[in-house]
Amino acid sequence: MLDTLFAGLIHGNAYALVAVGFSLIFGVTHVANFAHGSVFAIGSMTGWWFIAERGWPLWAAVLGVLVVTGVLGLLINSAAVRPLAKAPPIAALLATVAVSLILDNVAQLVFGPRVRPFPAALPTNDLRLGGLRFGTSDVVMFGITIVVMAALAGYLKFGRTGRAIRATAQDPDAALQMGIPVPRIQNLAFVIASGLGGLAGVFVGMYTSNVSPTSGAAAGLTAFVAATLGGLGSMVGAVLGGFLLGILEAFGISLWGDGVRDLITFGVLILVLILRPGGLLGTVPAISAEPMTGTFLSGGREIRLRWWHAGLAVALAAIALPLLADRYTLTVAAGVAIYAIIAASMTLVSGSAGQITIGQAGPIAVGAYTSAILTVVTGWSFWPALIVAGLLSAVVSTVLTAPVWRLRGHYVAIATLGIGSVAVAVIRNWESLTRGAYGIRGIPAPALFGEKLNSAVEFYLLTLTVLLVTLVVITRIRASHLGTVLAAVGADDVAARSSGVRVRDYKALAYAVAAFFAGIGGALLAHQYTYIDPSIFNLTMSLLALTIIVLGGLSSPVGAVLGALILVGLPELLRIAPDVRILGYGVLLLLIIRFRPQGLWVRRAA
Amino acid sequence: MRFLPRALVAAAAALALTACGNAGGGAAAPTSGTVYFGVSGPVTGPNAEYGRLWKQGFDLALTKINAAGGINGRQVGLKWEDSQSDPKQTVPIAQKFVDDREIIAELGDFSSPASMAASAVYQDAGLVQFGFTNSHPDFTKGGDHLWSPSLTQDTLQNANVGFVAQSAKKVAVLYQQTDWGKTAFDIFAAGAKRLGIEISYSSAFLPDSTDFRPILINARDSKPDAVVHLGYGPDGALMVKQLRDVGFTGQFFGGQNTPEFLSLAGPAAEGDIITGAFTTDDPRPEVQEFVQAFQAAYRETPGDFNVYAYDALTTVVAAARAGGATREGVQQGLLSTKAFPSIQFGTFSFNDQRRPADPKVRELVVTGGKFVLKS
Amino acid sequence: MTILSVSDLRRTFSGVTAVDGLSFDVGPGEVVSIIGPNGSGKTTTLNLISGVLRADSGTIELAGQRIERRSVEQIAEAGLARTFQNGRVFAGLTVAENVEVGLHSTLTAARPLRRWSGYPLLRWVPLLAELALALVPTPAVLRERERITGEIDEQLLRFSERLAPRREDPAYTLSYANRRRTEIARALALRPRLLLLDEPTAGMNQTETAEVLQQLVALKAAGQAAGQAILLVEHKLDLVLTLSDRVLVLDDGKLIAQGTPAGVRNDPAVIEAYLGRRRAPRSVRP
Repeated sequence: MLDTLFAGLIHGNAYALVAVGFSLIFGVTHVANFAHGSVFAIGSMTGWWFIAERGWPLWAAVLGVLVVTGVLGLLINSAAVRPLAKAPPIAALLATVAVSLILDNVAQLVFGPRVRPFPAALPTNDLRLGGLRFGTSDVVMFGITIVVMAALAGYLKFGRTGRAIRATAQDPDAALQMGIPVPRIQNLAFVIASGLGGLAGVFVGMYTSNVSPTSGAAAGLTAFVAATLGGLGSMVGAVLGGFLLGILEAFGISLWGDGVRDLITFGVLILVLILRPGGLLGTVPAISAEPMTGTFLSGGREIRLRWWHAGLAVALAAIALPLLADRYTLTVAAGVAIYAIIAASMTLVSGSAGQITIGQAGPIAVGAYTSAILTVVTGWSFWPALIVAGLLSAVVSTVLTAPVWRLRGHYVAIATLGIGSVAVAVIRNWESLTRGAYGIRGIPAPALFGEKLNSAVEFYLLTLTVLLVTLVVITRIRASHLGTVLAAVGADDVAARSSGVRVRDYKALAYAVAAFFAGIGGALLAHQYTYIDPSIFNLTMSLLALTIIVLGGLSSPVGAVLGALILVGLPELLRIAPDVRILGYGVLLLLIIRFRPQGLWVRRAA
Repeated sequence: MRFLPRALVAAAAALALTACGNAGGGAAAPTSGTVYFGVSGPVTGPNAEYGRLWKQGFDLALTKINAAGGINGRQVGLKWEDSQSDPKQTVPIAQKFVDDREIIAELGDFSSPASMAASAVYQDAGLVQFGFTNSHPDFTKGGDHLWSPSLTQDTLQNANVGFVAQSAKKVAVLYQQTDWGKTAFDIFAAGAKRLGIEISYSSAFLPDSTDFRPILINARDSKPDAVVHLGYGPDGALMVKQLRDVGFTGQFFGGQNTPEFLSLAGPAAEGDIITGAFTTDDPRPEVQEFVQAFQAAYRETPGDFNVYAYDALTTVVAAARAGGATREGVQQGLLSTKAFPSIQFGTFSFNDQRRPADPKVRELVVTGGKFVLKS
Repeated sequence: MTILSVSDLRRTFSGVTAVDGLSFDVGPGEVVSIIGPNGSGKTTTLNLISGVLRADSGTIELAGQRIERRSVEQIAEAGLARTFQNGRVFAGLTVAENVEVGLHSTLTAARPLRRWSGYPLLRWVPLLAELALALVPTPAVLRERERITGEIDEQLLRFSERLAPRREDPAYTLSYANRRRTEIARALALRPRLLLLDEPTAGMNQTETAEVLQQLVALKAAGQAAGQAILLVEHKLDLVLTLSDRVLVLDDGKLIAQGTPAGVRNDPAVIEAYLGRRRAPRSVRP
């Protein structure tokens, strides 16, 4: 028991060190920096390179890492955060997500995907407590964490400039007017926090002894959970949150096995957001009077698609393509259609209701698994399974997100991230129902009046039909009074409430519709792949769906189709390597947010 | 943005035209020029290391094969497609290979689920899918064009549990929460029951976890004679190191015969036992020749995945030499050839399930930082 | 029946008392203005009444119903509409759509079973019904859509030729003055018992203010028949004097004077409050 507690503390220390940097940035800029994990990974790989490949001593390597990651932090602020200071917070969040995609994949291209052994520059198992061996490096890591925490916390609370820093977070404009050099302070915060992230990369690298460029995403997410648990913006909170998360994980894993690790991590996140969004030491986030996406991301009106444009496009898609294209292209086209279905329905939530969702992989997975289980295990035929997949996905998603709508600002977006991950983790662990990690194979092809639709052409036409139905449904909703109300909710939810609109209900309704179609999309995916397992429904899938609608225009279903064509169809047809592809998503997402935030198919709101 | 709708139309037309160019006709395979095999495997992504090891093995085999005249005078080449061993990507790749008449057989994919997702496409088109690292028992059951010289989990884990039984009556087992790991565990557990071994503790783990201490503490506290790991190289390396850190001094079974595992595990891997067919100190002349050629070319010690790839290409080329450099020829060659040369087994043949018949599996132990035969 | 009855309303922010024991009534058809120096608690009062802020203590009654614990939407449904100090329109929606949102709580055919909207699980029934009717409208819904169009036109016509020609223009293309008019039209579409106007002419020039004043006078006349009351926060004294039946003067969160416009103007306490702060009340010279 004691050994487990101690193991949890040591591991929690690793979380704490990364969380501190994350919380510092949030405390100073009110931005959740999703690229922090990537900085951490680059820190550990650069540290490895200095020590193992160049033979530097530890102190020199640490210095080198601090410089590299500090500069990286500066770049992140200049490219992604500072320019979006006037935009709603969600814009900066998306920009940092884009940066994380870019950094992770650049790191993979530079260092290669191999896992490397991190040299034990300090002894890693020369000490002992109870039954557990640990090392001087862990002690040093602990020391650094405490010193950094105390220094930063003290400085922010008592130092004169420190209090000024806190002021810049509350109200940058007022701070600027009072003579506080806001840009310089924010740059400083990013440099310090990123340097800390790099430092964490070195010491956590020693602790884990295996390092790879792909470790950033996981580290970033757990840092985020730890920081939220402790209270975003609080240095002491981040450290406490890190240790507490480490202990919770250690005991949870001890009880239920390591297979539930991510369930614990994201479960903690969701519980914190629901029960005490301010975390242990933070304050409950102030009620934001500003609309979350406003016109910055939702933009003005959609570009009008004249009926003959639409007709031509449909004719091309339904007649020309099947006649001219080969099987490979049609398989890709079906994939494009499926993602278009998922993305188009998301525009109801994101564009209309103004709510960004970063976890559509959850409803997609529920739909895929429902259809797979119904057709493979229970022997249902395709069409009823498809409908039930959509319905069940809508119901499950609604239930899971019900407590979340009363939150403000981008906490809802973060909650959807957590819920998406939890849904997949539950599917993976609920073996008796879903066959867990074994996956489900032999998912039958859809059938129409007894005829199996298993050729590329037939399956493509099926997905195209479902896409057209989806677009008709979405369009009808948007053209009705309900659509107007949803758009109002997205434009300004305080004004909407003052007009008698029950905003929370309508957000939930929009999300339910999106989940329904996500479930349908998932079911179609299942029948296309003929095999599914939980690892397919990952964060990359959620981010892809999100990037598609940001590219097309958050409020535009037609834009969603366009986005799917560009982001799913093009890379696949050009056989762009997957790593480069994801790098491309990141670059594109960043460019769009910076330079055409309303997306391709929407006009800028003057 | 008035031109945007027109741009969209133009884009769609362009897309359709590029698609046109790829339209696969019913043309027969060419009869001269390079003979191609398609490789569907992880070049990037979490399993990219295995793709790298494959490439080393393939390239070495290619040099040897082409120096010996290729297939009936025609040179042999490979067309690689990066699947990231992802079932989503293996299906379009399969379509692509099927539509390319120059390709007479397919090699890959790395993981069984990835391969099995695409099996239907290969089987329907009559293109051999040679899943040489696919150990899932059901892989070859999908059709008669699906072949695998890989030792099945049945064979591997039954051998494994047999070796474990020689030194342990009570074991703790840690297995990956993936299709591969769970299948392995199921078979191991059944074998353990048969041989009277008690499993004092077992836990699944996520392949990307970095801290196994909580489950290793439980494993240690269940007082087993040995700890068994069923997983891949990186997680195996972490596990054996952390196992020693929590104070367990008994025997460890697990890891992987790859350079990655050995370099990540370092000295903690000494004494680790795994099951396998290939070892560098196998005295057979063809093995030694292979090892030397490999070390000369790459300055690394070859491991299992290099050998799998080397043997796989050698096998399909042998089949093509026998049956003809066409798709049907490869299938016929595989069916009719009774003995294929193999670094792993000397020679081997396929049984009627298109799996190796009576493969010899041996116990390997890490000695002085290398896997050698256990004496 | 009094439309609004506020009793002993209190609200503090981090130790600062913004509204301190405020009590007043508004009767049917009345236009009551709230004036006072900056920071005296006028907008806070409106926010408390409309539910955007929760009062620490005190009661608020709207047409006999206690609303101080209710949510913003519930209060709106009870018949209270408001505009905001900085003019909040739905920027991406057209003028007509903006007004249509105001009609939301008056719809019946498109929103059946609304009385279940307050209950935890049951609320999904009216929501799903609304969704179904959006996809497949019944004849009743189609008829209601026509009524909606008529209603919107009616509201737009109050502003003579300002808004009607811009019916289909997105709100973000409108001038500032037109945006504020749209906001008022949206509020009126609710057919509220009580209309709260928070500095409706803020930021407008002389001509625009005069025009809005005319429109508000017409509004008052039209509303009086229906018993509609207006509670108005304003700095421009001309407006206050012309429109109001009664004026409330706030200072430091307390009500320091109440009465007819003329009476209040000469009240020494009021003069002290304004002059004592070295702040003159803003006015629009004729």
